[in-house]
Amino acid sequence: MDLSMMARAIAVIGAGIGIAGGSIGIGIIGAKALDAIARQPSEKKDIRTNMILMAALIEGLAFFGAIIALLVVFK
Amino acid sequence: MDLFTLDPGLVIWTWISFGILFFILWKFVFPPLMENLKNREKTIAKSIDDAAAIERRLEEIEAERGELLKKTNSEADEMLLQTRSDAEELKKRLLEKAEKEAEEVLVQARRKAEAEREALLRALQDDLADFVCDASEKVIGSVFITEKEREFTRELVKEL
Amino acid sequence: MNLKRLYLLFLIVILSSLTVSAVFSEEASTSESPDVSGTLFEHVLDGNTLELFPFVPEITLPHGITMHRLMLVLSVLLITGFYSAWIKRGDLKPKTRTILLESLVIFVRDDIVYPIMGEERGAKWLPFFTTMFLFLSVLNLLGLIPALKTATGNINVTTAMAIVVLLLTFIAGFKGLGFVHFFKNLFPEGTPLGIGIFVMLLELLSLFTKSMVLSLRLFANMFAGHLAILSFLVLIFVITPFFGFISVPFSVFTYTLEVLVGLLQAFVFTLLSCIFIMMASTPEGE
Repeated sequence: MDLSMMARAIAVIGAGIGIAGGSIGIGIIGAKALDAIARQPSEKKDIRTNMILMAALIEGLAFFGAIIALLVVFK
Repeated sequence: MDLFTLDPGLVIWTWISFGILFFILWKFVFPPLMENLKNREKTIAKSIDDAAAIERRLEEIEAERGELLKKTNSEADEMLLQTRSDAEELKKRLLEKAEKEAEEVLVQARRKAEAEREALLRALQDDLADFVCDASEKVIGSVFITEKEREFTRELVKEL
Repeated sequence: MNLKRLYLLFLIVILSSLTVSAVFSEEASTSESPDVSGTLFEHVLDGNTLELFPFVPEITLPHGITMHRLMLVLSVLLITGFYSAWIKRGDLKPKTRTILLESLVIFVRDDIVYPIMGEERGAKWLPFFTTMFLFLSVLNLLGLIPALKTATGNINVTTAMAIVVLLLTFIAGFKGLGFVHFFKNLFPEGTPLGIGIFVMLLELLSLFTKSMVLSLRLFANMFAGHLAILSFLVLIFVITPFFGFISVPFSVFTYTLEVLVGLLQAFVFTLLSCIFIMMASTPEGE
C-alpha cells in the first residue's frame, strides 16, 4: 500500500470520527430540546431556535473535519 | 481537484445578483407587500370586531324579542283569564236575573190567577145571590123582594 | 397517504429503476473501469456546458458564463419575476399564489427576524433577511432540478454570502454601539488587561470563524446532499446495472430529504446571520 492511499484511509477514518462526535453532540441537543419542549410546550419556539443554533455550531465543527478529510482524499 | 479553488468572478457575480435582488425586493416588492399585510390585518381585525358587534346586537335583539314575546303572552293569558271571569260573572248575573224575572213572572201570574179567581168567585156569589133571590121570588110568588133583602141575601151567600 | 397512491409511487420507482438499469447496462458493460469520481463531480462542480436532456448534444455556454453564474441569474429572475407579478398593491382579497409568496415573508418575519431582533429593529432588517432566505432557498432547490446545478454547492458563492454577513456584522456593530464601544463590548469586564486583550482577540477571531463556518455549512450540506443523490445512482456503474432496483428508491428518498435540507439550510443560514448581527450590535448582558 503506497503512502497516499494510507493517508486517504486515515483521512476517511478521521472524518468518520469527527462526524461521530458531531452526531453525538447533536443527538444530546435534540434529546434535551425535546425534553424541554415536553416540559414547557409554551416555550417551543425559543427552544427550537436555540436548538438549531447549537446544532448548527456543532455541525460546523463536524464539517471542518469532513472538509479536511475531503482535501486530503482528493489532493 | 477544483472543489476549493478560488473563483473571484463567481464571488462578484454572487454579490451583484444578491445586490440586484435585494434592491428590487426592497424598493419595489416590499412596500406594497408589507402594506398589504398590514391593511389585510387591519381589515380582518375590523371585520371580526364588526361581526362580534353584529352578533352582540343580534343577541340583544333576540333577547328583546323574547322578552316582548313573554310579556305579550302573559298579557294575553291575563286578558283571557279576565275575559273568562267576566263572561262567567255575566253569565251568573244573567242567570240570576233570568231566575228573578221568571219568579216575578210566576208570582205575578199567581197573583193574577188569584185575583181572577176572586173576581170569579165574587161574580159567582153575586150571581148565586141573584139566583137565590130570583128562585125565592119564584117560590114565594111574585113577591117583590126589596133591595134591602137582596142585599141581605148577598151577605148570606157570601158567608156560605 | 392512501394505499392506491402508495402503489402508484412504488410502480413509478420500479419503472424508473428498470429504465435506468436498461440505459446504463450497455454503457457499464462497455467501459471497463468507469471514472466514478469524475462522473460524480462533473455533476456538482461548476462548468460551462448545459446538458438539457440525456443523449442530446450539450450546449456550450458563451465565454464568461458558467452554470453557477447562470443559476444565480436564474434565481434572481425567478424571485423578482414571481414577486413582482403576483404581489399587487392594495390586494385585500389574496389568491392562493399571493398567500404562497407572502407566507415566506411572514415565515422569515415571525420565525427568524422578529423573535431575535424585536419588532422595531426587525422591521428595518426584514427585507435583507427575506432576500437572503429566498435567494438561498431558491439556489438550493434549483439544484434539484435535473440539468440545473446548485450554486450554493460552490464554496465561492457561500463565502460571498458569508462575507456580506460579516461586513454587515461589523457595520451593524459600529452603528449600534459605536466604533470604540464595539471593541469594548468584546472585552470582558473585570479581567486583567493581558487576559482581556487575549479574549478580545479570540472574540474578534470568532466573528470571522463563525461567518466562515456559516459558509462552510451551507456549502458542505448542499454539495454533499446533491452528491449523495447521485452517488446512489453511480453505484449502478460500479456494482451491477441491476443495482438500480435498490439505488433508485434510495436516491428518490435522498432527493425528498434534500428538498427539506435545502429549505432548512437556507433557514439556518438566515437565522444564524440574524443572530450574529444582533449579537454584535447589542451591548453585553442583554
